[in-house]
Order: sequence, then C-alpha cells, then structure tokens
Amino acid sequence: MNFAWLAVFLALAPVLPAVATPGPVTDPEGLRFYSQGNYQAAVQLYRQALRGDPRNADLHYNLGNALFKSGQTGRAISSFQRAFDIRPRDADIRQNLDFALRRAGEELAPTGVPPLLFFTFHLLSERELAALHWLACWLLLVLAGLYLWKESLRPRLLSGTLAAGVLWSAFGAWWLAVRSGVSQQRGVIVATSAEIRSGPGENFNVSFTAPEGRRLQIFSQEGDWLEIGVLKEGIKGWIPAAAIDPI
Amino acid sequence: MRSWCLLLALALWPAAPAGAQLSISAQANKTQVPLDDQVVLAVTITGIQSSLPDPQLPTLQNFSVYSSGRNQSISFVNGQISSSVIHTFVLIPRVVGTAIIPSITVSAGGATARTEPIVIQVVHQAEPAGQAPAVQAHPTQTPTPRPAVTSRQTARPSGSAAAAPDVFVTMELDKSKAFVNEQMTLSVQFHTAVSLLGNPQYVPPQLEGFLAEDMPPLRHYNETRNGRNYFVTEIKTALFPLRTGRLTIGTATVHCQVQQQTNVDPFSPDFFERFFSQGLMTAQTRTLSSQPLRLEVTALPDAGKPIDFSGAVGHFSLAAATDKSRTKVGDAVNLTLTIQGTGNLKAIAEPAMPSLPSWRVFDPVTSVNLQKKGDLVQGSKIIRTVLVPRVSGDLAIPPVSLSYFDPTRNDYVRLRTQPLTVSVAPGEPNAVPTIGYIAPSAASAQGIIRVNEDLAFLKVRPRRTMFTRCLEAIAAAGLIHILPFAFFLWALALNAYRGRLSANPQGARFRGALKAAAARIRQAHDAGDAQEAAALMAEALTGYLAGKLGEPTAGLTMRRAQELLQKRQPQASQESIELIRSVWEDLDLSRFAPAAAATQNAEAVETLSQKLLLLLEVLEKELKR
Repeated sequence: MNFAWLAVFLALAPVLPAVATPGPVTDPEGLRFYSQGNYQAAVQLYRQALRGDPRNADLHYNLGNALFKSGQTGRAISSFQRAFDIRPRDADIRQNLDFALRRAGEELAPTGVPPLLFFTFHLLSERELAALHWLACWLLLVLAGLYLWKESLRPRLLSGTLAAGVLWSAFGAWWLAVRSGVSQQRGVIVATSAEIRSGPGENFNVSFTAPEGRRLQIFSQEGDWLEIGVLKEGIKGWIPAAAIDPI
Repeated sequence: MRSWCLLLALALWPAAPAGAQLSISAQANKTQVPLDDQVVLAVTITGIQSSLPDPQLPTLQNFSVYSSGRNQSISFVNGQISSSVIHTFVLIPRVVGTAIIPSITVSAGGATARTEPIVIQVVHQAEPAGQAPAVQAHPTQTPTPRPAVTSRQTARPSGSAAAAPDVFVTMELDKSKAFVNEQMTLSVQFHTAVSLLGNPQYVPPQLEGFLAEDMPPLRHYNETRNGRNYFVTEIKTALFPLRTGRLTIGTATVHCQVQQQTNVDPFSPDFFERFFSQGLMTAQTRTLSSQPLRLEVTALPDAGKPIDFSGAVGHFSLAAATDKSRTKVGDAVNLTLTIQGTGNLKAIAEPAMPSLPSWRVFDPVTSVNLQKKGDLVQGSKIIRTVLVPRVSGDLAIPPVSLSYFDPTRNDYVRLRTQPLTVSVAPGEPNAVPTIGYIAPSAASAQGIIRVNEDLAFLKVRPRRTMFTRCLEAIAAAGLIHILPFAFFLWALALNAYRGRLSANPQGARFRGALKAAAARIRQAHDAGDAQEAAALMAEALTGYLAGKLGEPTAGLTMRRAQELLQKRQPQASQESIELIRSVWEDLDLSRFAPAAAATQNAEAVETLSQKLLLLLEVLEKELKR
C-alpha cells in the first residue's frame, strides 16, 4: 500500500508549486471607489483586473456588486453567475446571485427543486469535480497498476482498487452532469425589457418579453440574432445578440 | 440588575391598575339653551392604557341624546404611554326648565371615576317670541325652510282616510336607488294640526340591512297641506345600506295624545250638560304609523375596482404626517393618517400600512370625529400609529393609499399620501428608549429581525482555501494526467509479458540468455579477484549457451556446446564456434591456472570481459530460435 501513496505523491509533486501560489492581492482602489459610490469606476477597475485573472471568483463577485449598484442588474447577474460557477459554496456569492435573480423574477434554486438537493449538487465547482475525478482516476490507475505489478500485494490492493473505481465513477458522473450545465452556452438579458421574437429578425412577431436579468440558454446564432430558451419558463425564441451578456 | 427591573416593569406594564390613573371630565358648550337648540357635551377620559373604556351615561330624561363621535389620542412622554378619548354627545332639550346632567362614570380595573353634575337651563325658543315647545305645535308658527332634497321617495300616512287629518306621520327617503354603503337620508315627519297632550313617543322604523346614524337635532317647521296648517317635527337618520337588492324600511310609529273637544249638543235640553261642558277638552290616544319604504340597493361596479378597495363609499381626502422629522433610534414617532370627507367614516377600514422594515410598527389607534351638517355624515377618521426606528439614517415612510367609490362620479378614486422622511440619529449607547418595552434585552428575545435586504459587501480579502487551490491546480495539471496512465500501461504490459513467459519457459530462457549473461559479467567486474571474476564470466558463457541451446547448464562442456551449435544452429559461423572455444579456454585458464593466464589485474579481467561480450554479441545475431 505504501507504493500507492508514493505513487500519489509522485504524481502530485509537479503541481505542488501551483498550490503554493497566493490569491490575488486585495484591491484597495476598488474598495474605495465602491465605498464612495463611484460604481462605474469600480466596474472599470474590476473588468481590467479580470482580463489578467479571468477565473478569479472574487473579482467576478466584486464586479457584480458594482454593476448591480450602478443599475445594471442583467450584467450583475452575469458576473455573479460566473463567480458562482467558479466557487459555488461561497455564501456571499450565493446570496448576491439569489438577491439579484429575485429582482428578475427568478430564484437561485429553481422552483420545484428542493434547495437542499440544488445546493448539494452545486457543492463543488466544475473544476473541483474535474480535479476530484482525476484524483480518483489516478488512484484507480496506480492501485490497478500496483495490483498488476506486485502479485504479492494483490489481496491487500483489491478492496482499495474497487473503492477507487467507485469514487472515480461517482465523481466522473457528477462532473459530467455539472459540466453539461456549465458547458452550455448561457446568457443573461441585459436589455431593460427584451422582446423575444418567433424568428431571427424584426419582421417576426414578438412572442414574449422577458425582464432584464433573466437567464437564458443559447442554442444557435443567425447573424446578429440568437436562438434562446428561457430556463425558468421553458420557452424558445430569437433575440438580438446585443440584448444578451453571454456567461 | 437594571435589565431585570426593566423586564419586571415590562411584564407588569399591561397589568398595571388602569383605574389608578383613570380620570373623566365632562364639559357642556353652554349652560343655557333654548328649547329648539342643542347642547354639545364632551366627555373626556384619560388613562395610561391605549384602550380606554366607554363612559356610562346616565338616563337623561330631559334630553334626547345622540352620539356624535369619538376622538382618541395617544402620547408617549418619558417612556410612559398615556391616552385620552373624547366622546361627544349632542343633547336636544325636551322640556323647559332646569335640567341636570348627573355624574357620568367610567370604570376600569376595579376603580371608578365620575364627573361633576352639570346644570343646564332650558328656556323657551328665543325667536319668534312665545313659540310653543316642539311637540306642542302652534298652527300659526312661521314655516322654517326645509333642506333641499332630490328624488325623494315618500310614504304617505297610513290610515289617512280624512283629507286633512289632525295628526299624521310621513316618512321619506332622499333617493330611491343607492349603492351599497352610500349615504341616504331618511326623514320621519310628525304633522300636527291640533294641540298635543304630553310628549309623543316615537318608535323608529325597523332598519334591517342598514347601518343607521342619527342626524340631530330635531327640526321644526310649519307646513300647509290641503289648506290646513301643520306643525311638523322632523327626525332625520342617515342610512348606509349593507347589502344589495331590494331593502325595506319598516314603518315609523308615533304614539301621542291629542286634545279633543267634547262633542256636546248646544241645543240639548239638559241645561247642566250644556253649562259644564262648555270649553271642556278630552284626551284621545292616537297611534300613527307611516307606510314602509322600499328601495333598490345596487352593488358597486367591478370595473376599475382598485386592489386595495375595502368598501369605502363617499368623498374623502387622505393626509399623512409625522409629529417630528428628526428622532433617534428607539424613540417613538407618531404617524397620523387623516381621512376626511363625507360618508360612512366609521366603516372605513384602516389603510394598509406599507412595509416598514426599518421601523417597529405598533397597532394603530383610531378615532372618529363626526359632524352631521347639511344632512350629510361627515368628519374625519384619524389613525395614529406609533413608529419606532430600528436603524439610523434618513428613513422613508412610503405613501399610504386609500381607495373609495365616489357615487357622484360613479367611479373609484385612489388617494395616495406624500412620502415622508424622518431623519434618525443613532441612539446613545445603553440609552433607554422612549418606549420602554423595546429595550435591547427585550428586543433580543424577539430574535433576529431582518431590516433590509441588500447585497453582501465586496470581497476585500481573497478567501481561496487550500482545498480549492489544490483541486484547481490538479484540474489544470494537463500532461501530468498521463503519468498514472503510463504507469498502469507499463504494469499491464509487464503483466502480459510475465504471462507469456510463464506460458513458454524454453523460449523465455532463450530470450533471457543474453540478459542473464550480461548480469553475470557485471558481477564479474565487481568481483574481488580475477579468479572469481573468471568463474563468473565462465558461468555467464555457459549459461548463455545453455539457454540458447535449451540444455541444462550443469554438465555442458565446450565440445558438447560446439557440437550442439553446429547441429541446432547451422547458421552459426565457424568463426563464432572457434571464438567460443578461444574464450572458453581463456576463461578456464584464468580459473584453473591463474599464474599461467597472467590475468592477475583488472585490465586483464576487462580484456576478457570485452572478448566475452564480443562473442555474445556475435552469437546473439547468429543464433535464432
């Protein structure tokens, strides 16, 4: 069994330097702008910071706050959603996303889904699930390799190998399920009241309107028009691309 | 200790003996009143509780008594609540003379408070001089102008067979159709053309399906009907229909005694009868009833009905005000909503208060002040609500709305007050609020109260856990994922190789001969002396040839090996076989005659091993399985 731990350590060794890398430095300027009510300046600052660190959940969250305070509910929801995708367990991110969504007539936990189930499903981010899946996969491969290599250790390695297989299957399925939601093209309506038409053009009738901040799924694009589906109501239509902020 | 005392005080506050500080006073607006006028009696009750009892009015035989409203105010001073209610009564004098309003009492909590008696002098009507009392009409009285009414519905006197009876009762409504809760005025007129004996007794009609409001005072005027002068006493009542459909107002009844001259034959032969009956009047009891009235009550229209409409009908205005614009956290502010106008003010529901999460809102105290002028029930309804700010800042009180139906416009009207703002300063630490029962200790017992919902603040310091960072690093590991796969594939290949070896031992020996020989040669390099090294190299050569030829190592001689090579490996060259012999002999010489072999140093061992390796290399190329 010591061989297995040795193998895991050896496998992790190359990534340890990355683990030790500290998080982004606190930005006092953004805090100052935000506290003074200069939300537009804070938005500019956070957007600039995100160009260098696009997977920083804190920056997405702070940008969402500044956008919301400046009256851009749709873009704020978009930012909060990105932060949620990266760090779904963060209580502040959940609260602000839910708060902003309720302004648009939605809730973070969809209607009909028990909140406990929803938040359990979103306990880990897609990245974290991918990592756990790979860890379980590594463990399985190393234990299976040792099982093949060392005949004398086979009786002791059998249960561990099977457990690693179960873990790998579970994390793999979970990861795929979350990934299927995250990898879909999504967007948020940023127009005050978006008109959703039956076809990709002004000559088509307006089928329905949707408020700013409503989350959408993007199916296809036809010129400047996007074919979308409204997640909550489950209805489809076409909307100008400019009216949507893709997530 | 202080908090315990406060809690004790809070616990005992509702049960404090209200009667201990209950007081009552009464005041009449005049002490001398003509018979056709009225006295307004204001009874004021004060106490230290928000809900004060009603006064117990004694029987006032000399007056007709009408309630005219109730006005309550509540105040908080130095943490003490005090309340006062003013009950207003209209007293219509019935007879001339000295009338005493006895003590009015109020009881609460076992204690009773009472007013001083009030003496009222009732005099004859001032103008015109010598006017008769109301119920003893004089046919020559000057007619009083009557209030204008429209679309009247009149019930003729019942049983008025005679063209011009001495006394009769009529009843009329100012309208024949009305909306639910719309005011209509019912007038009951008592007509007399003869003198009455004593006070008539009035029995009001049955008013099922109506809310009735007296409209004092009695009115008196003269009227001419069928060429006969009548003195009319009119009683008005405001009615508010409570339901739709066809409603009936029952008969109004008056019991009275009229003077009737004795009917004596002036030509009677009986002298005494003629003499004693001259000017003799007799009393006759009459019961007079009006005809019942019927009217149609229609429902309010559904079209355009505001969502907050609660049934108010009439014409109203709405205003909101606070008693202060600056306060501190925990100090009370009185919000006063004033509904003013004409209509059934008593039945108007309190407007819904907007959501005030930044305030603690107490139950409102309502007072109604009715004035009955011009045949209309009008006045104001005042709703006072105590608000206590929970937080500091400029706190807004959003507009309050009231919807009512205006029957003159036949439409709904929605009123909205102006939004109010109160500047609230932070409370002083440990300060006792003006209302004691929201002290911090008591407030904490209520649990956490959400005042406002807002975004959580910025993330000033990053909080990425080691767990998250580890996992993100692993997810981004890239090619590192290949390593476990490579290891597994290697183990898989190794396992397969081992499987093949175990399936064919001869072949495995043939393929592994060179490797085994090389291992022995390496051992020979590490050997302690040349003789041992030569022995190891000899073993390497013998083992190699045995493995290639499929023979046991033990007992394999050079000659035997050469023979087998020629026989089993015909492709082996003669030079190779000769080289085997040469190397074998060199090795034997080194092993068994070291002195002669001159292989005593490392260089000699190296030379021999090179020669052996060269031989093995050649054989490896030539020998095929």
